[in-house]
Amino acid sequence: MPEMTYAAAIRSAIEWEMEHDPRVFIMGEDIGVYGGAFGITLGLVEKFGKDRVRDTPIAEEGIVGAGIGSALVGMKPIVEMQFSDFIVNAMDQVVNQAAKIHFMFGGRMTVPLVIRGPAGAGTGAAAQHSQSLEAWFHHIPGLKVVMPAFPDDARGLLLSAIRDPNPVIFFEHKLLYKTVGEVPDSYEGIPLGSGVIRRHGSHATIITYSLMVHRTLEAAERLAAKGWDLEVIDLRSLVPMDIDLVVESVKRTGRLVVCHEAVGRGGVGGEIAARVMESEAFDYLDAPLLRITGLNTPVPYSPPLEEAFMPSVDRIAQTLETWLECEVVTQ
Amino acid sequence: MIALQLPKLGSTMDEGTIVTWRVKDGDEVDAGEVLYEVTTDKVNMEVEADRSLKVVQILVHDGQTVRVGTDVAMIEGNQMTTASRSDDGLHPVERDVNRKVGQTGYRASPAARRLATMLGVRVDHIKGTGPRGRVTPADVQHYTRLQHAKPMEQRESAPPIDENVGRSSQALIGTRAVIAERMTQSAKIPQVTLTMSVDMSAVMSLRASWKDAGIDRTIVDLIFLSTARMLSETPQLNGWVQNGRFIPGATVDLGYAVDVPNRGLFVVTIPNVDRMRLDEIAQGRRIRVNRVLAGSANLKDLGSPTFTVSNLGPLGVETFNPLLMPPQVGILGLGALVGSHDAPRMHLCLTFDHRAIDGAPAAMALRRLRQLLERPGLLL
Repeated sequence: MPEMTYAAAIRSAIEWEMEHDPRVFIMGEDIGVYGGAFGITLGLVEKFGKDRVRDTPIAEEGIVGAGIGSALVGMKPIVEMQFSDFIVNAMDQVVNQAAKIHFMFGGRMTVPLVIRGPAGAGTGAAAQHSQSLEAWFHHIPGLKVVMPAFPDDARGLLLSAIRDPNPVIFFEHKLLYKTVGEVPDSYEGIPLGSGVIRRHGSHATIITYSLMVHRTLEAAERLAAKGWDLEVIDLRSLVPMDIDLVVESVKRTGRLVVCHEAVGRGGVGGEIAARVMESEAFDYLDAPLLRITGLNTPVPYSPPLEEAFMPSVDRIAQTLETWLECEVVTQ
Repeated sequence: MIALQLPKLGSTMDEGTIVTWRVKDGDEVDAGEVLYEVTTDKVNMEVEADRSLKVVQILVHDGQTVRVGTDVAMIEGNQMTTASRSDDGLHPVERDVNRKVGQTGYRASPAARRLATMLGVRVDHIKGTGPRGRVTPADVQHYTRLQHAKPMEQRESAPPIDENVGRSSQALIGTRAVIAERMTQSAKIPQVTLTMSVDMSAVMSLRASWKDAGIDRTIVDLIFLSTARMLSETPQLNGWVQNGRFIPGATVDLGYAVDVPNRGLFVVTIPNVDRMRLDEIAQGRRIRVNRVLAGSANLKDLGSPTFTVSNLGPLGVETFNPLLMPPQVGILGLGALVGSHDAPRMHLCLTFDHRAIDGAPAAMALRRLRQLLERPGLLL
């Protein structure tokens, strides 16, 4: 299997779909000649031309609005938010138009639109360029939300997102763009809504996604040296969410941890916890649940404070260890 | 408008599948009419309306499986008074003591409570060794092991059996599946059948005098009376074995096996037989048997007997090995009347659960029953 970076895997999915489906095109700020702020679209304008790789003005509402309009008349647009934070400029288009049109037209119209862009902190880009806003979109019926953690998933899920008949929010993590991994030659796509158990364990189930999958796995390895056996589930997509996988795992381990970079308050972790409580897994719980999340503050610019904001491998490992020692009795 | 919920129709029922609705949206039904048929892991049942009501909307459709307590339909009906609510068969009446006791302020995780209920122990009797004194599943397992190691009489008494559990006004229609399940369970129990031949002349002459006087009594009614007497003197034969513990019945609730043509074996329960006169027994048994034959028995009629009587005599069977009806400890089989008119005899076949009682005391019990039937005057 070829190895490639997360960024190259995303590019390869866009390229493949543009080669095989003339309806697919991409729009965004500096995505043409410049190749995108993070280089995702490097070389695409040379290959497909300016009509299919369109540089836009700095006007997110217009970019998304044009995407919705073209989707409604038969195109399959991919729009890039230079930083995913900028999507808030386009909230009316995303929430009141893209998400709702399929429903308000009685299912007779579809909006095959992908909105993708880099999310997350860790690059010293400060509060307006470092957020993880997936909980907002996860809350809106009519939107799918996908957050891959590995190059193969980035390609496979983006292929499915482009082929999906309705809007998909695709959040990439800035710190993952250079991550290298094996990517199968297949262009079949990975179905949205299937999670993966990245590590099998018996003491607790940790639900996570995006960058935190990597950090949680590393923390779990450290704790394994101390005798803790942790299961790690990578959700890959938040909507639809593979809640069955979560429930089955919690039934086996009896303990639930959720880890995400987004701030804890009103976050996806609360939703996962609630769905587990509502499920048959409730009767298998043997400890209060634990959330390990970003702190409830704008992401600080100061590097040490930014480091403290995000769950680091150290913080995840220490929090888990304290919780396990407190809540789990091993005889 | 109120929601109609899937009732808990047996102590182990967690979910049910709606087989068929017999009504449709907008139908108005009277009390006693069948609303729908539901199947669980053990049994097919018909759920009746316990009062007149109007079906507004069916929410769970044919073939769907839902958990106990799920709203299956929206209905309009007479407002219930608070007083009658606990008797309202349309509401599930689960009483899991391991959930209720949470109010007492001790700690137990949901997993520990679930396990305790499965193993039939009370979680509030268990000392927690988990974080902040929490009862953990390991504590429950440890406690259950200790309980099983104790002699039977020292073990804790069972959680109180709530009168309302599983008893509501729904009629039950048995299937082969129920019988197969119960008989398979039964076959796993170490059981022994003792047979004794009884001189029935005294009983037959009693019956002749009832007949002369125009009183409607049968031999089986007298055997019920005698069996109840024997059981109240032999409490270790009257009750259940569950999760390795013997639970004596507070009263003698006699089951009577009835063959319903084309539908199979049913056991009706005549409760409190030890406190009944012969005429009450006769009447109680007749009413319930007739209801079962007519297909209109309710769950209370079927009930949870503490001991069962099975009568194959009318079919000419002289002696047989009745299989226990778990979790009951004993079952009595009645054979056909044999011998001459002057010296009629009958075989009594007593099967007992050898985990709960040994051969000698069971034989004593059977001998006592024979004595009561040979000299019915002792019953006075």
